[in-house]
Amino acid sequence: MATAHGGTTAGTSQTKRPRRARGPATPSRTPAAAHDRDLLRQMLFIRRFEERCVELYSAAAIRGFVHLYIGEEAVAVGVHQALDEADAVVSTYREHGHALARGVPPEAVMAEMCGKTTGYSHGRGGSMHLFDAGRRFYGGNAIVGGGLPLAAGLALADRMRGESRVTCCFFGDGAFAEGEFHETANLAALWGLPVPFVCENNPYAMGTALAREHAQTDLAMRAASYGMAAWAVDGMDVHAVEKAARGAVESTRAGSGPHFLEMRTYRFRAHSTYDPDGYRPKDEVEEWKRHDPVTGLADGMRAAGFLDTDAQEALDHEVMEAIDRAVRAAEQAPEELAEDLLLHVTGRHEEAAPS
Amino acid sequence: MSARTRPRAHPDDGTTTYREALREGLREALASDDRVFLMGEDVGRYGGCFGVSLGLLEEFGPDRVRDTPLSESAFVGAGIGAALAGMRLVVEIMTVNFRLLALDQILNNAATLRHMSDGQLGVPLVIRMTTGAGRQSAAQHSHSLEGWYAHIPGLRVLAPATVDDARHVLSAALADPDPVLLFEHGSLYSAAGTLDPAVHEVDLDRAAVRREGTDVTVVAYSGCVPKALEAAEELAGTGINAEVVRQAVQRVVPGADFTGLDPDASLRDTFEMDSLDFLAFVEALAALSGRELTEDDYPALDTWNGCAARLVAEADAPAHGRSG
Repeated sequence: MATAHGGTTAGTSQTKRPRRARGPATPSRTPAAAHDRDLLRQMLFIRRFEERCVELYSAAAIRGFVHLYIGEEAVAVGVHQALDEADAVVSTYREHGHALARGVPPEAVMAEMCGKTTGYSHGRGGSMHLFDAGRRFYGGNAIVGGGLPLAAGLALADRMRGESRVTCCFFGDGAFAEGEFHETANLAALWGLPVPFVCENNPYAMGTALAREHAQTDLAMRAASYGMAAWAVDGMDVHAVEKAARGAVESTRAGSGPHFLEMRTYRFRAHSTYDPDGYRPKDEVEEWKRHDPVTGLADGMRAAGFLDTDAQEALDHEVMEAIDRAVRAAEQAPEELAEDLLLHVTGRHEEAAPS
Repeated sequence: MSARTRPRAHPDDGTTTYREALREGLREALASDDRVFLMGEDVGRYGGCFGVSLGLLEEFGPDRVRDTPLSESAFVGAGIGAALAGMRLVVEIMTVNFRLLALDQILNNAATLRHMSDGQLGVPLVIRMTTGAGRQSAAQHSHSLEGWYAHIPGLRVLAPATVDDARHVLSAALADPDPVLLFEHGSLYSAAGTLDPAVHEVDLDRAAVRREGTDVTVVAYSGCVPKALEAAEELAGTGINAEVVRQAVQRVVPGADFTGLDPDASLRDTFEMDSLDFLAFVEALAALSGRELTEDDYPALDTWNGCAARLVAEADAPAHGRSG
């Protein structure tokens, strides 16, 4: 499914290669190839990062609930191609991929997951609550659908001040069944708020299959009924995701109100580290794995001459080294002191307390 | 003509109603700070379910006096999001019972984001709502849930009780870096009073003495303050000089240390009446009396050096009749 020819950027490379002063065109040096390598590096990074998280969880270095994004990497990485630094992102409890794609340093993400003070929330948030105010990454919300109204409010503030920023809101097919989704979709459409809604339809609400939780499973069609542009996207194809996200974000930014993208994707792992994963057939999982967004992109790049074995190995090495560094840093970082528990309960206390 | 159709100007002699005093507070906030806006069900064209915001739409426009759909969770959550983005807004909810539909946003987002993000994300949001019984509105419009909310770390819970409270509470609440819940007792909106020209602000941390007295101290909040003042006047006729203290923050103080209290000092001076809740008070009495108190002792505590302390509370029922 994912190929090097699927998206606007990559497709352009096939029809209009950059002119060169001399010598034959080298596919691996085109801007399209560089862009694909960047996409691949980011997706691979999320994949390997989370695989390492599984190991750390088994070793009890990470505790609490951990929800893996493996299989859905194309959505986070593709959507972030369309966002600017000034935009805001509201995420879910399955947000490691979103945070990394947003540019939150992996050292900070890993430390937060391990409950260490070098995490951006001092280890208080953990896996489900990654926050980075500086990058306008507003978490990380353990309540299904709980982030949706926040996104509307962030966008409302921008709208009232005349800012051209958007607030990208990630959520899943489970959240689509929550009242908060429907209230927020109506509010955002009513007020024309600059929110690209990105629904990651993976298609299980924990253990409940889409058709067992929704009378009508065409989520994009239902979202369109609120009066916003909405369409379904192959969420396993990073180029398709990027193309759709660019269209939705540009239109939203231009003042066309909220847009809704139903990203049809799949998680290859269980819902969380507590989940025995007994509710879906093995052959279904295997079928979706045939559309793996990471290997799909890599295969397409090889076919287009964008990637050879050496480049792949170099990329693998680079990614693993960066993850090793993040893990080492997290292991060495201190845990928060118990006496700091009451810090930041309120702003007043914070002001009164010694820093 | 009622206050619903004709907003009254602030009279020169300082007499006003609780409703008008709240409106003046809102008007002042909207006029003095561009970041401030008001949002809620029927706050604009209708003028507010209880007429508090009547006339503000015409004065400040639909962007800043913003009518919302009947989607409590979405617009309270949107208020939290706007506050995160640096706006300073007031969200109005018709009644405390409707507020339950937004409890997820209040508890899981507004109250927790600052702590969970290690101080990165504060939520300076004011949420107003009507509370209390006694208006023949039946149970679903009558609960007093201040105590519930007061048990949630991260929230500040206030119950303005007099026209002075109503007039000045908002500027203090908007200046607070955290979510502030204002509980406005439904029976107070039409209560008239005279603004004290010496009062220009409400101290969110300290209780206020609403009547000086020497013989007995009555501590109350919200709709019970006017009742306490009324009772004090009645007592004065019998020769008893009662002091009435309006409690400040409805909040439990974890680990508060009340040992070593001086039973001869006045109740107000001893406790400073800040952040005091009844259970903490009972614990303090228990420590002083040297015996464990149980719920059986609550109706009539007579253990503090002969000083009687008595809890007068609403009946433990979902609603009350006409008099509350």
